[in-house]
Amino acid sequence: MLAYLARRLALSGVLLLGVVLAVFLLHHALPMDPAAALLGKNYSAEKAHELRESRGLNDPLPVQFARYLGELSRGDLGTSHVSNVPVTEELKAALPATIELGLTALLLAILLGVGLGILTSLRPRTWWDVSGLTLALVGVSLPIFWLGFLAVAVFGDNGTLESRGQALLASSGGGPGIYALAALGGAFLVSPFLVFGRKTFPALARPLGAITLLVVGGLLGAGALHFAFGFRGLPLGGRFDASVWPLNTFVAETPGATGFLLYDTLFVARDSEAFAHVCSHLLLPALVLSSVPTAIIARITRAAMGEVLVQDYIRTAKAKGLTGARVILKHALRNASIPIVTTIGTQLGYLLGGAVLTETIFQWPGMGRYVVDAILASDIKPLQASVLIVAVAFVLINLAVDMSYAWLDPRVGEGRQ
Amino acid sequence: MRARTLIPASLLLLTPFLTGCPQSGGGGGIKKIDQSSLVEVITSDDAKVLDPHTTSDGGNVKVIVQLYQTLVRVDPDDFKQDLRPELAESWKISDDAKTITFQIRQGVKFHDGAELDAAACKLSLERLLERGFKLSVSPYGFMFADLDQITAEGQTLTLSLKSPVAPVVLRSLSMFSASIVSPKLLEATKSMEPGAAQVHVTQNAAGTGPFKLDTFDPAAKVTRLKRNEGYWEGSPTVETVVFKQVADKSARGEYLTRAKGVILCDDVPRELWKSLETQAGLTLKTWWSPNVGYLGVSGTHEKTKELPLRRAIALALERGPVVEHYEGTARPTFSLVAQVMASYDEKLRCPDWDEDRAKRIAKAKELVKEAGAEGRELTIYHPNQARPYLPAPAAIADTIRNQLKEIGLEVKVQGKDKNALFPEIETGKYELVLIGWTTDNGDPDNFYSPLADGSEGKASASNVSRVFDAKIHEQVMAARAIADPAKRIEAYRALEKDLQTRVAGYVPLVNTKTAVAHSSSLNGVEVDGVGHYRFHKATIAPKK
Repeated sequence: MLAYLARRLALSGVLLLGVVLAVFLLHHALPMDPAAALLGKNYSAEKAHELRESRGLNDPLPVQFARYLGELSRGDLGTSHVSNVPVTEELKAALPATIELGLTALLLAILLGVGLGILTSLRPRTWWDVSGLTLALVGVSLPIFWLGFLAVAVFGDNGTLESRGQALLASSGGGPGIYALAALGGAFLVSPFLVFGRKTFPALARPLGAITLLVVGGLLGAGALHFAFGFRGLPLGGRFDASVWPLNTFVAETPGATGFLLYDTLFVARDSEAFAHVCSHLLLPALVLSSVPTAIIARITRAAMGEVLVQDYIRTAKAKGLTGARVILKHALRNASIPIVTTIGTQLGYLLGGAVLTETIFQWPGMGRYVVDAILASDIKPLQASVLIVAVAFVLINLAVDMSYAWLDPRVGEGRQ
Repeated sequence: MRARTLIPASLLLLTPFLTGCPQSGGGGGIKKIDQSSLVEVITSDDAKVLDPHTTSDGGNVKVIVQLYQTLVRVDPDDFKQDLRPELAESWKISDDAKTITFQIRQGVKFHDGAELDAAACKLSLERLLERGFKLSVSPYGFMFADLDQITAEGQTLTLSLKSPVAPVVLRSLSMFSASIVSPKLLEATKSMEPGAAQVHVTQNAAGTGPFKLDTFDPAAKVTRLKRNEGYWEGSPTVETVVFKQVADKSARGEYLTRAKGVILCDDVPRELWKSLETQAGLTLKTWWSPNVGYLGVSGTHEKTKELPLRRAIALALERGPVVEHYEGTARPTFSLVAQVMASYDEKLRCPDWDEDRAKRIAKAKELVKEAGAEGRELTIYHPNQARPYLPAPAAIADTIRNQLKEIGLEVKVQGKDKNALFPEIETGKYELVLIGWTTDNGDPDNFYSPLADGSEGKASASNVSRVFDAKIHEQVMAARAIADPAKRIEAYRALEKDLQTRVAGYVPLVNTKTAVAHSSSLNGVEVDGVGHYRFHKATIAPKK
């Protein structure tokens, strides 16, 4: 196990060195000139040369690279050309924002994705399976930016759906009529189950079962109307509303505050209203960001579970009289978990490094926004630092995933095939 | 067992999401900001640097003008760019236009308690000129290069100039970059590295403005200002101003139309102007900006070096179809100087102009033939990013391409990132550049010096024509020194005419409007011609 760990660490080190070189060469390959961005319309070659000279950008590449390595070895990620603030200082705010968003999205993706995957694998080639796979396909196919704008337009504060729904409710007097109509709609939508769901749920063939289904459909319809049109809407963007909550001041001035606002509001400030405020800001971006990972995790889970569920030992476990949940979660899911864990690991990397679009749409002040700002301002150091951090995160996550293989399947650690 | 604990724990964690995050009354750990006297500014670009001497970025300037003040400022009630006193109570220009004497206002204090006097003003100007200071970057320092001796005595500040250009220098002193910063703050930066000094001034910003810095956290995108109770014009009514960056223009539109509190939005998307004019609860304020959108034509490039060809291009361009791209927010323009300025000549048109377009096209074709340029292949370069004077650069360039086709020129269009395009203008590699300019100081010289002139036999970096014409240079220098306003206007009108005849290095196309929108309950916001808004006289009407 230790030898395996050492081998993996050595490989990761080589990989990181390559990343450092690639990151350093990044801005030389891109048309980025900090002097042009800083001088704006008053640019002149002379002033630009002076500026580059003062920042060491005219030095030969090997000299610049040696300086860069020296800085990195001291944990110095450089200084922003624009703000002159050390990048590490600026990342103190951006990194927790991205990690909080990424982990929430991952949690949602694991719960929804693994759940959906198990559900579809238990009933292959049924209505459940087809619906689940279609949902997964839609999740993978929808572009994040489109989904983001759609979410803002529909669920955002006073969003289209809310304002139209409120107008509808107002025009109908907001009375029970419109809810009855929604209930009928809900019952209508679930009615195909009476025909196609009988195989899965034999109880639907009986009158009581059919009535129960229609009542549940009706309640869902009325509830959906109330939730969508009656609720107050979600914020359009940002981590919190700075004109209402001085959360950044709180984080800066309070000992023990971490910059992870869910934690800080709930456990440090113990302020449920501020916590709810932070949650409301997190919900839409996290849901949008989780759409692709949810779909991918669901598909992988379904495939892996499908292979395991037909194995003899599952039949044996069932024959021993174990409960369905125990068979699925302990015997099947654990044995199917290597590809699932791998996928979750790669998705975590994607969530930390690939949240650029989501963060831009939702004005989320995380790494994604930080990178976009750096590119727009041709600010090299923040860009290099961000790419490096994401690369390091990927390497570490992959390392952790590899380590988890050894735990999940001890044969891996022992070097056997 | 593990699953049994995992599922409820996950559900517990998700409870706030699943319940739609109800407002639970709060535990009271964090005090909310008082909303009764707060204005939220929705802005397209956020602030990162609050050091007025080292920045040219619009996002920074929007905050800087709330914190700092200048000796004189552009009159907000007069979009023709007249000046009015600010930290200087009065000023006097000597007859030879080589000395300006300011009487500095008494009883004014900086946010850090320092007193305002002539010595404080002198220190700020010296830093701007990098005398005794080193700046990390000095984007506007060159505009004050004519300043020679600066003397301070009590409340009297005297500026001696190297050349007789007092009217131009006075205008430049109204720019945010000539802001007067607390001497206490500046003294502390003298021993610092330039970068550290910029950060120090940013984080401890202390001016004389109506608002003080409360929170500045650029990484978290939070900028919050509190009113300056000791402001010399009287404490503002508005207590808090919060800046919120919404970079995407459609998202900015969403914020604007869904605002619940009191807001002001700058850089309002043009396509929304019409609907906002009639939207209840919002006020749209528009004005003609001191800018120009134009096609720069190189006089030194191999493909456009013939004067008849450049004059043909000027004749061929029809402003109407170009203006159509601006959703009713632009007007045709025919001089390089902005139309809002007194030296703009309403009657001036380029040589051989005829109101009948068919005749103009015929004449332009003759000129193309005379230049031997029939069928010549040209390229129009434009910035990829929208600019205030070019909201849709590619589409506008395409319209121009079609018009030039009519006179027998084969034109291609190519977009470039603005940070790559602007620096390369100086290299002279572009024959046609679609570009524009907004004045920094509201003086006509700020159009002609950078865009049509140069120095020491070399065209200036922003001069797309790349032509340095000795006679034109003489005229530009002479116009700068004229103190009499009427004579100055005449000088610039003559200069414009000569430029269009002798160089024909640009074709002015449009002058555009700028807008801010704000809640109708917000009264008394001051907006000046260059688009800076201030809240020191603003009041918020109580909710009905």
